Amino acid sequence: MRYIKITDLASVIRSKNAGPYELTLDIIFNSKESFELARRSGMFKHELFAKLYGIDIENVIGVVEFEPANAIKATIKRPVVSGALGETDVYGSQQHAPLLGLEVPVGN
Amino acid sequence: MKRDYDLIMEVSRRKNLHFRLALIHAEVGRERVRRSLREGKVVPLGPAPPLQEEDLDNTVRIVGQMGVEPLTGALEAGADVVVAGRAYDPSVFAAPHMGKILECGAIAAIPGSGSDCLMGCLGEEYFEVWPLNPVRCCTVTSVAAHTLYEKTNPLLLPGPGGYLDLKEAKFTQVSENRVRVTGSKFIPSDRYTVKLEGVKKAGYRTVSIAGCRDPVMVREIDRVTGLVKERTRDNFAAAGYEYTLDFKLYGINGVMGKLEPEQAPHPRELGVVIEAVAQTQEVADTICSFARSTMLHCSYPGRIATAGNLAFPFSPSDFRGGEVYRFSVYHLMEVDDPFELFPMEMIDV
Repeated sequence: MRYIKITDLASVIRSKNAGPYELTLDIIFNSKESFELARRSGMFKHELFAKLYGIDIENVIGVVEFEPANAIKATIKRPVVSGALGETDVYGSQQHAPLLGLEVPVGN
Repeated sequence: MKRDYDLIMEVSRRKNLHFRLALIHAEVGRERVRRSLREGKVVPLGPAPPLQEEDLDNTVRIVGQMGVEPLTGALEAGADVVVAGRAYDPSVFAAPHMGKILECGAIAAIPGSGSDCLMGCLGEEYFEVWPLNPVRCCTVTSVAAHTLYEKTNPLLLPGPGGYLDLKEAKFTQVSENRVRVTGSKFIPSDRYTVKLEGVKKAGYRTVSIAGCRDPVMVREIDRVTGLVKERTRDNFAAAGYEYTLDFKLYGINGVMGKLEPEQAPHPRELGVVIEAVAQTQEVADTICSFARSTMLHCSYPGRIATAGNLAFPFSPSDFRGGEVYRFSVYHLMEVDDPFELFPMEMIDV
């Protein structure tokens, strides 16, 4: 099995609040081919995001593929409601780093 | 809204301008929400908990997100200028999917920017968007990608009075910098709902900012913060203060908090923000100051530097952050019509 770094397949990887209760993670691939490669790998599941962020799988609200943008998007429940006591990132825009180390398995 | 209204009045007086101005209010009274809550017409949005009447008692302000109707209604009533309170962001464009793209300006272009605009043109079965700045381009990816932005699910985007269904949306490049979108549908809901946002006061905040370069202190930081919390608790036990004391540790998990997956090696330098939130500003000052001086001088295993554990960039070291609020209402409320929560005043200027 060969692996390709996500940073070689994606042109945008980002996180942001989707309302005060949710954090949404976007991976926008750099081409249709890269998107298809990632999609076919089958790795972008609820389990992956639960593991990456050390959260329970119930707190992964959804994983969606959005073909027009060659994008895969996951949304998780915020550990604290935006701006509540204990907050570290009010807008959620610096929570993407764990995604940057991903590697996508491709056939030989 | 009052400030914007005052600004407009001031400018129009100075320039001798005359026009009809519509003011559309978006604040919703607690008792109005309570009535609907009792009728079962208020439901949580996403992971928000169900609304309780006690939450309403403590809520200081609630706004509704208006849809497009109050805005077009004001124009139809002859307004030249409209000043509106809280509105669903795309409402001001009166075209849900195009508005969603235009509301962030050139963020949907390449290179993206929030300080530049996009032009939108609405046709019968399509719309087109393009940037006016020649250095930018709208591409299929940049426009489609913006549909993802700050949303849970890009295929179904709920808003006031219905949702946008993008399952069959097609994005086509029609010229070098212009994108055409077809196939997006707005599906009106059976019952018109409005999103409510409300906050309650969590207290008053005081923070202290410091750094740490001592490798032993950096290594022992969790022990130190635990100890400072404990000493603070002991010291004020008899005073009966209600407060929260927290430490943001930049270099360890100051950015990701509980979501931080990496157990990285100890950093060379550590940034520390001591945060106290309490029922009054004075108590927050007291807690922050006690925690700061305790952290500065406390002992920890292996301590070799005994003159002070923290480096303060500023003197004075503590800052008042003022009132702190937190979300208490993030719910959908069913209404009889789209205008109900948003009364309009028409003023001849």
